Amino acid sequence: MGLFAYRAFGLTISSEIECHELLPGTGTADIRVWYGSVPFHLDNPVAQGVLYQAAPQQFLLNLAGVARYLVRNGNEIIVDPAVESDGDSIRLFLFGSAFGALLFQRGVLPLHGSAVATPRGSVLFVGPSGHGKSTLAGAFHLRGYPVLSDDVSAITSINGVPQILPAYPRLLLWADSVDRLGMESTKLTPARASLEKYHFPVVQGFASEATPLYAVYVLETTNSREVSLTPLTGFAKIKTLTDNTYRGHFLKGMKLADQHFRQIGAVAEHARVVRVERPDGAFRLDELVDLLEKDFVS
Amino acid sequence: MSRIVWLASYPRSGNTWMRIFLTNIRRGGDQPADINSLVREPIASAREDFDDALGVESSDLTVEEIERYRPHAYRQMAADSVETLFLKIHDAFTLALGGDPIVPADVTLGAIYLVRNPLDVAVSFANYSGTFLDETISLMAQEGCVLAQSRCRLDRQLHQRLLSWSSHIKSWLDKPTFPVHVIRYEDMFRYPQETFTKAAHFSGLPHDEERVCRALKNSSFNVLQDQERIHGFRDRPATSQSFFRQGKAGSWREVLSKAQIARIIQNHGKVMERLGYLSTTGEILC
Repeated sequence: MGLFAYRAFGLTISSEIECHELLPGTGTADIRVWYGSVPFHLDNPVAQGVLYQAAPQQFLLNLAGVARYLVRNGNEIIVDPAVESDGDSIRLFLFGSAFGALLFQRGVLPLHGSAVATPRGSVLFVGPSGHGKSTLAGAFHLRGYPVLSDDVSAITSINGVPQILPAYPRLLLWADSVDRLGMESTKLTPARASLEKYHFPVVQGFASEATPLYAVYVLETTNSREVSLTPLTGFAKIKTLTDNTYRGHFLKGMKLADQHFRQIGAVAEHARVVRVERPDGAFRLDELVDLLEKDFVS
Repeated sequence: MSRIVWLASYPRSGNTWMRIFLTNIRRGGDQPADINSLVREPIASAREDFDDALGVESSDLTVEEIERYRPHAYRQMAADSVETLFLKIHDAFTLALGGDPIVPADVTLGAIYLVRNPLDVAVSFANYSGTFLDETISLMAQEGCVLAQSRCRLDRQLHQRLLSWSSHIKSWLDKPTFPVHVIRYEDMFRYPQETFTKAAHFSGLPHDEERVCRALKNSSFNVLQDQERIHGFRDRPATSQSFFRQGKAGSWREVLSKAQIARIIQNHGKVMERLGYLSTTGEILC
């Protein structure tokens, strides 16, 4: 089987799996992704969930009907596909939880959010699923801001300054967001055959360099009528960043809680963290984008 | 490892009130628990908690996969919890794909099932969701009714099979193999001390007279309405003026037309009779 070379999160990936979502890469591989036999269980799991087990430098994801993934030592992902699986599904979870675990193992902080680059630095939109993170990144992309990441945003420290690493050049958008952004879903491919969630390739306007983090916007919906921005301070910043860590439950099993706490502290020290409240049920995308743009430009 | 007490009901049947009472009795304090601190208290259909239990994002899963994993997610939540886990749930008691009930008996201590006169449910549900009464009455009769079932956008909650009002009740009363303690919303007003004492006892919580009295005082409608007026309530939908609206039974008498009453009785008469909302001669009892 041939090997493909890609680049994501500032790393060179050598992969047996062809990933049309990723940018080509060169040089010595930092990570190997290969097909192989993966056990159903780890020998000594420290923590587990329904579909995963975690131990120091080891993470196993077992998704029936799709694949089993073993993520080891921050430099290797072994994929064992189910017979009935398909490539789109296998890659969707590879780029999600499997890479999330790999980033933890490499000492990189993954936050649950989407980011774009601005002249002030990168801005990251975090919040629970369904609160509009990808839609906002899409809206800023249409206004000419380079996209850095979608859903999994990797933060690393360069010269003591937290930076967001460019992830995958794509956005995953639900059909209603595709409409809202004025795109046509018929021209896009679904992320998985049975989902109305689409793969939107960011061909032009993908940020190629790590970008210092300027602000984290935490998306919340309320029953108020207004859109409002509230900068957070002190412990509220730490708590918010902790709550929005991508798959934070994995940390316990991999014994990385101390490292995580230090990283969150560094982000809280350098970046603004702003709570963004908008009315439930009414997205008011343009108003929100204007308000955020004004906030990070000023 | 702990077990789960389910607070199950069709929507608008007193579930939030019961949750607030149980929070107050667990804390046992002199001051009322802040209603907005209940926001992060778990509901079984919360997407975030489900995703954490699984380790992947449910937004990447199919409807069928989500159903199949739901019982496993609750087993995980029980395993991760150090004390009895109270989970609110609006799903009917149904089977997931593969035949496993969505609510797994093996980690369940029991369920408190709250039921309310469907004439009042219709009024409250219409007010809550900002829809017309006739529409709400039709929805309550739909056997295939599902909450949060949109496939073209990501709902904040997982999809929940609600069924019709009658089928919801029959599913929870007849199918579980674990103890189900039925409480009528109307009895929460009429016999508060007795009704709430039994609920606390059933849930394995302290239920001495003084503590129940204090918790009841701290979860009275006046206290809840005051809190909502001053601080707002985050569970109130934008479509509704207030969440703690009237806090009384029988408001259907002032709101529903004769035709609307007749439709509800035609749809749900048998189950209403079973729960004491209708006499055998067709007289409305609550």
